[in-house]
Amino acid sequence: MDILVFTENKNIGKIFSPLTRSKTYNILMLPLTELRKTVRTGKNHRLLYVDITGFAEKARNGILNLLCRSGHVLFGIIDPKEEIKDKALLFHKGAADYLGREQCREGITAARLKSVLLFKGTDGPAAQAGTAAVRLSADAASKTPSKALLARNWNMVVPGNEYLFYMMFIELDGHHEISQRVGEKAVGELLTAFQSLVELYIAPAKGRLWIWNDFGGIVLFPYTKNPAAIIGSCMRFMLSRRSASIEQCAQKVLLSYRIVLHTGSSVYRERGKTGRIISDAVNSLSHMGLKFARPGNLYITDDIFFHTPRTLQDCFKKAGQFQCYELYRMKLPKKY
Amino acid sequence: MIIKTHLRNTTIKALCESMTVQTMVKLARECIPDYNLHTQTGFPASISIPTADAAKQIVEDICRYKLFPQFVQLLIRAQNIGFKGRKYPIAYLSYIIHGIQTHGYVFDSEKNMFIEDPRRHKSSNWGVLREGVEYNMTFLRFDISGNSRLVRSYPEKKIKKAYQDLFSIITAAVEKRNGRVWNLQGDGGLLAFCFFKKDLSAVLAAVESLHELFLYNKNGCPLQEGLKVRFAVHAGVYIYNTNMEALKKNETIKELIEMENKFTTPNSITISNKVFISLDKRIADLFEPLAQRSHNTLFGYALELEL
Repeated sequence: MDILVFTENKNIGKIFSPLTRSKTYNILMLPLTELRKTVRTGKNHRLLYVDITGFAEKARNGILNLLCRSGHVLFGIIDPKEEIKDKALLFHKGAADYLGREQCREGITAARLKSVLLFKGTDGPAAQAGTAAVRLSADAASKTPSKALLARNWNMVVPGNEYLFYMMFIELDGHHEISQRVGEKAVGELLTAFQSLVELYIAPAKGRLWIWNDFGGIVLFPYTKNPAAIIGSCMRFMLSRRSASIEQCAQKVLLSYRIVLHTGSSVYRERGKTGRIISDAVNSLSHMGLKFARPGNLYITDDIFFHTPRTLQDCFKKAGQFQCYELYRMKLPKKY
Repeated sequence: MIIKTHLRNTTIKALCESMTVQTMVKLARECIPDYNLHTQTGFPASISIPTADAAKQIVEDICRYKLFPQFVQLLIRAQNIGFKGRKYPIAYLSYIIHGIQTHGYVFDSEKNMFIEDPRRHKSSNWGVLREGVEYNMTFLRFDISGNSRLVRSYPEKKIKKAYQDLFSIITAAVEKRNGRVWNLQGDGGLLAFCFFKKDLSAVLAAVESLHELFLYNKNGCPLQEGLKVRFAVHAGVYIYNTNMEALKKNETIKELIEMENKFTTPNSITISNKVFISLDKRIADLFEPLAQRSHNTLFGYALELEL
């Protein structure tokens, strides 16, 4: 589980130092400027700690209102100087934890985090609970709270239940022109080859074709704390477009495709039985892929970006905002 | 490779029904120069050898010299293209071809020869290259840049892990295109391609290795600065020899080493003009003219992301 700590004070990190070796909790230190965006796009099972030291009462209330209004964000307040007089009010407003002077001095333990999660009615991460799936308190994709499960493997996924997934939109670029330029049979062969290619490249990250129309579709990946393998697979697919075009397609075409990677929850149904699925995440992803993504590019949403190892983050740059999502685009090779 | 009895018997039958003893001997001499049927069978030179005895002896000798796939190639050519100016319809040929495929060989239509099926065997000579025989081959060489400095700067365990990972990346890219690892040692290696669009396969393997290395350096490499590798691809004539010392004396290999040493920057690929002109445009477009080396233009590709 990710613990996001918003502070401008580097020393605050020491409070969480007992958890730095924890495999269950992943501590991320972020500047306070990232708070609004994180809350707005907060789609994951995570706990936010906000350091309110030095804020005037008005600004402090603004932060509290932001956190409370979101409705689905689990948050705690860090107050090393104990500037907040009415601590109970925080809990009335929905806070999950409060770290005062003493807690800040002694540091926070895994046991405390477990209590915080239990207090807010979540079971905590799968590794800690030792269960195959963890029921989350908030839906990652929709703005309304719902119950999404978290499955780390496909054999844990049961059709009919709602799960949190990494979702990938992929579509062949310029398919209208291709259809007009070559015969029906050749188009059919090309699309079959393209589908096989997608399957080939998503397989190492346990991806599964889910919704597929002629020219592209949506791929699901089981949820994992570190999306590096999934992003790596997508980047590999982008980098390999020339060799893939030569080795996998009988037609002499240079394939171009666009990819958007996003996290979100949806009821899982087997491929071919997805017609009646209603999911905000799938809907948003499709809109991003169809209306925002430029041909031949790979995008990831900010939620994934923040979970990505820094070395891979360097390969992406801000691409703009779509709906309430900040998107990052993979820097393409100069020769592509 | 041991040829099963039923395949031998079918080949004997095919020879008997398709050609004369003289033609059989001529075919055998294509595989074994100076082949003497009378000596082999023990018949005096003045007596003509019965067809069945001749066919049996030739097939046995061919199998003993492990030249059965090459002999079947000759039969295919004799039927399809002709032998000494005449086409010979070979009885049971499709059965023989099927039989040899069940022995772990596939037919390379580009070179008109059987090579071992890469899904079943991966020997360094593809099961068919013979010592002392000249072949047109394509070579891929790679070298880890700054090896000495890396070895001094990092613990042995980390270096070992990073190098092994790199070797695995390159070996996978090469072997899936039916290339062979001929030499992996220290900080570099030599890989060979002989069949199935060998130039294109070698370049695609190099490009894939470079891309995989980029991803590996971004996520997984135990060395903080990542690995920097130089790749070079060149094609030319090579007289097959299992001795690695002889390899270094080969002109094509010498040129390849020079290309890699002098003209290749870390994390890039250099290819010779000979390789470049045989490439598919879709991959050739990645490469740009690099340098002139004794009237031979070199082409290079480096993976650099936009800013």
